[in-house]
Amino acid sequence: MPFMGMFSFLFFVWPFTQHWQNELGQSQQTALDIAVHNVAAMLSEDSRFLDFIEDDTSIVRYRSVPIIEAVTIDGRTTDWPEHASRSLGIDDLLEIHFPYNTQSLTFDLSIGSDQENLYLHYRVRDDSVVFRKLNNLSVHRNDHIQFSLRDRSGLFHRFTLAATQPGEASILEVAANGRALRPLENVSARWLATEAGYNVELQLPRAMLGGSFSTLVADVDDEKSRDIKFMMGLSHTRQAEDLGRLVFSPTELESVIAQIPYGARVSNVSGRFIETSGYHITGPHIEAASSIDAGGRHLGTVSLRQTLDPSNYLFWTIWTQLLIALAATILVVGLISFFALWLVGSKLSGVRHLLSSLVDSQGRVTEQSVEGGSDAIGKLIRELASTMNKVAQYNDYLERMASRLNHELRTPVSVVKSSLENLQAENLDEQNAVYVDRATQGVLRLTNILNKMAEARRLEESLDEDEVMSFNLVEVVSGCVAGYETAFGSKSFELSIETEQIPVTGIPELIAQMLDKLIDNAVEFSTSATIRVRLHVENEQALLRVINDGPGLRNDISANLFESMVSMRDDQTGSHLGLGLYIARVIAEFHGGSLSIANREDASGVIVTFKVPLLRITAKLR
Amino acid sequence: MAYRIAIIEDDDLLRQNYVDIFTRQAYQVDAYKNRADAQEIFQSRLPDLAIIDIGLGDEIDGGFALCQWLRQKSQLLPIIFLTARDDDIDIVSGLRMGADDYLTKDVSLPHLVARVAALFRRIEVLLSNEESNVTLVAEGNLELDSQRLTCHWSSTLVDLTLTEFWMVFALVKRPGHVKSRAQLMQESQMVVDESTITSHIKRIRRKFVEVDEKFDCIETVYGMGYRWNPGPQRDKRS
Repeated sequence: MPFMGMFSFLFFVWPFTQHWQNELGQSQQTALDIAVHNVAAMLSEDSRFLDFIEDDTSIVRYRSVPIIEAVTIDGRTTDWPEHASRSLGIDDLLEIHFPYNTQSLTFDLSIGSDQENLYLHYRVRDDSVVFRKLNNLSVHRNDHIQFSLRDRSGLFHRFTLAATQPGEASILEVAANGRALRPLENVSARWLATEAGYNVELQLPRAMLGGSFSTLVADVDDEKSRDIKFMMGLSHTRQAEDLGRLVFSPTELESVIAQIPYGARVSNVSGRFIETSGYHITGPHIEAASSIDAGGRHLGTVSLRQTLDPSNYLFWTIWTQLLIALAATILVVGLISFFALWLVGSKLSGVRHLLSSLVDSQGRVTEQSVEGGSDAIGKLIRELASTMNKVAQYNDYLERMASRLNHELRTPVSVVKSSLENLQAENLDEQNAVYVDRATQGVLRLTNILNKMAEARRLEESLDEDEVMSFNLVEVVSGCVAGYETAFGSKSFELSIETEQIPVTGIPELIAQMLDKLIDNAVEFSTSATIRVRLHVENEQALLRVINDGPGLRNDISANLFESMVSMRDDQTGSHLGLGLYIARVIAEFHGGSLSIANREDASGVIVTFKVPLLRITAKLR
Repeated sequence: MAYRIAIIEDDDLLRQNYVDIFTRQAYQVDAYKNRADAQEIFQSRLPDLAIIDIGLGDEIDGGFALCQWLRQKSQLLPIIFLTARDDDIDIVSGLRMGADDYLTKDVSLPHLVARVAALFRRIEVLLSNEESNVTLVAEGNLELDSQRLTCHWSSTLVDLTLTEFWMVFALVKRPGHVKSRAQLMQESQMVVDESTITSHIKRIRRKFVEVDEKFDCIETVYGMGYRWNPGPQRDKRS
């Protein structure tokens, strides 16, 4: 059932999914637009950030990005943030002493800083690298890097980095006239030869830096002449007026950008990437950009990117979640249904239990006291119980009435009887004596009826579990049959018993009484001189059969013969109440057995069968 | 001197019939409709024998109360219960009312007269102290005195009613012989329905067992009747 539900759900929902995807793509784009707008608004209110990204022509800005994971001074670029890099080329030539082409010199400058140091990385593409000669006094007649700064007290310092070979490079402070003064300490620098030229990486303590800074790369290509061909940089290093400004990225910018749950890139007005984070997305994506404006000026752009993979990601996300939700719903509904069914089932078993207890094994309606719930089934149970109680009360009334009638009739019968006897004590003439005799016969018959009624009632009272014992059914049956030989002189009894011991439990006197009734019945309807009695064991049950020759039973009556007051006799005397077989049935059922009556197969007579379990341990109501 | 019989019976017609028959037998008969009337007279003079109906008008068990009241007055006064229902007999027996006999109202009047005569004879024997006419049946531990109508088992009195006594007497007369119900009724001058014999036998057994737990001399022969089993007792039923 749950699977059917799931399949039908898929069938109906499938056509809608394409529509959903479009809708979701639309809303995703909208969400991204809003996000980028918010980011731009936030950045345009941050003055330090604006100062950081501003690109005006009046002053050169050296932007230092935050270094969050320490860089190793080894010349390699791998541990540098991508967006720290700024490419310099033909537009950035400060001095040209030779015709320039792009193979001659370009470089990428990266500036980063943490709390203590400023890091500089130069990735120089140079077609010919010329090292400083050992013992050469000048540091400028070879490929080198210059940088100048004002220290915190405003004093101008000029430095040159040159290397005699790849590896450790020395930095020398240079005098205004270009002469090397002394090596700079507390710095480390490394020169790395590359295929395209060389890389230089160096670390300066921020303590020696003020706000002004300049750096450039000087290119020497000829080992012999060792003349500087080009000087390339954002600003010159020669005098204090040439210096640009060192600006530090607001430290929170990076974390702000990193926290945006999209790929993000911030660029300034000249298209430089100020900050990027997870912006390189392969595969389908959506993109949104927003301008960063301040004071009516356009200062930069924020771009955001987000993966969009409708054929896989979104689709399966939706479907997975839908199916999970569906499965969970089906599970919950199933559990609730199961619980409800269980609840109804247990209540119905209460009804069944009630129904089975309504009538006891002797067919009497029993009194009921039932507590049901307040629901429909509870009401049904109570209604049923109350109805059955009424029936039970009525039944009880009828039973008491029969008993009382029996009792009440005895006294007037006794009056008639004793009066007749008084009459008989007198000397009556013959004519009167005849009537007295007839009256006496009538009274005897009446007495007989009353006694038979009393017998049935007394039997029910004598069904006492305390009297139950185990006994041998063979002895009771053979004893009884021997008695019938003398009691019914005109009939002969043919007894066949297969075993000597058939142990059963019950009250032997009652079994004898039952057999009396069966034999009475058989004798009465027998047309031959022989009544057959058979006793044997079959399937843990004792089977006692009384078989007589004679007319068969009418089909419509055989099932009812064991009921009270049902008789087959065409009896004019009226002294047969049809109680005999009823009494026999009550006794059989008390013993946990059953009575059945059937025509013989050849319709030559009737068989009454009494079945009783062997050695019944427990008793009456089971 | 004629014996004085008191009949306490609430049914007017029946009471008058009883009065007539006993009067015809030359007894002196006093009849009472209810317990109060009877007790008022009995305060000053007890009858020689009382025949009591159990249900007396509004008092369902008025006969029981009257029986107990009379027994307090006299241990020897013969009392016969006349009942409409034979299950009352069980109650009488169970409550140990001290009745000497109980009969259902089905009893024929000649039988009732005979039973009354038997009770008077027992009184006469008890009072006369005549030893010579004692008819004593001794069978193992059992002694039956058919004059005094008393029964002893191992010298202990078994308190049998008149009906019960005659049933035991009939069985013991021919030990080992099965007596059918009809025979028992005939010989013990039983006047109750045949089917009540089973319960009479049960009560007799119970009374003997009260005296001797191992008593098992009365055997049921299913479909035939009962017999007295002397000597080595065996129980064929189990």
